[in-house]
Amino acid sequence: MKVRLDLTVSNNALPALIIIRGFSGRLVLYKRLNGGKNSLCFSARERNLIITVRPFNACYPEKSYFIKFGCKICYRLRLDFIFTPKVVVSEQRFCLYDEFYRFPISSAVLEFEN
Amino acid sequence: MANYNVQITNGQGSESMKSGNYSVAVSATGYEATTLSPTTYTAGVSAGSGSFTVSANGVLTLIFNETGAEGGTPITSGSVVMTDSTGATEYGSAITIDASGQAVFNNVPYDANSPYVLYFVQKETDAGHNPYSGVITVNMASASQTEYVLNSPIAAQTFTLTDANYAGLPVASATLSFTGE
Repeated sequence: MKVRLDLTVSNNALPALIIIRGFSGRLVLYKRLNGGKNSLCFSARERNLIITVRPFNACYPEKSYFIKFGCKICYRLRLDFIFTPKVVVSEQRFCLYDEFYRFPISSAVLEFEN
Repeated sequence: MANYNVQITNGQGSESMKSGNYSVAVSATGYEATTLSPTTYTAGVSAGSGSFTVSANGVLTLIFNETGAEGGTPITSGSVVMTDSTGATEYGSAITIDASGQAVFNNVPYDANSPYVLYFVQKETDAGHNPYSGVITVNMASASQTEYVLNSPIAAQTFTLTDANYAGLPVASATLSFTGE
């Protein structure tokens, strides 16, 4: 079975990896994606495939499509992978010193604006 | 969009923050808010830390003299350093006491409503005086402030050296050596 895959990945999640495996786990395609619009051709023996896009940036969790093909020889497939960043909250610690004497400021408020 | 106000106590504070780029401002009694550095911070997806500085524009003049008040005879040399309340931890470099007994600390914090408390330790004095032995406490309430510190003159000490076996017989010539502890 030959497949032509037109793949769109949202630009904020690039670069990313595309990983295509059969349900048996057999690797069909493993490729780095640098652009948002991609056209990929590959051959597969299995009719059931898992197509995964994994952004390098950990703010974007990977996404997968499970595709079950029929008995035709050639397929053309179009998939869109739209990523939105997951909200990550982490502990940030701050120090505030007097610039000239380097002693810790006894009391203050640091205001952070995004 | 996410904004955070982080309380700083004794120089330290923490907050759970969303990742992203932030502009930073400060509100600190006795300090100039515009002197904060840096003014940006990037919070990553994992735990992080940031160090900031801020400065003030008060001027404190310490005058070391024999009365600890205006008009006393000043010492002519020495040094003094800013410390914590115990005097054990020094902040910044020691300031030289000049020939008129003055040591000037620039860029110190002050506040008229809630005076900023600063501490100092005198490290050296001149040959004719005893240094102030404790921690000098100053309440900075105005932009320019003068405080006086007592350095008492060294007192003359009189010694006699007599023969141990013949009471009252003075030793004609000798040297007594005193070593400080």
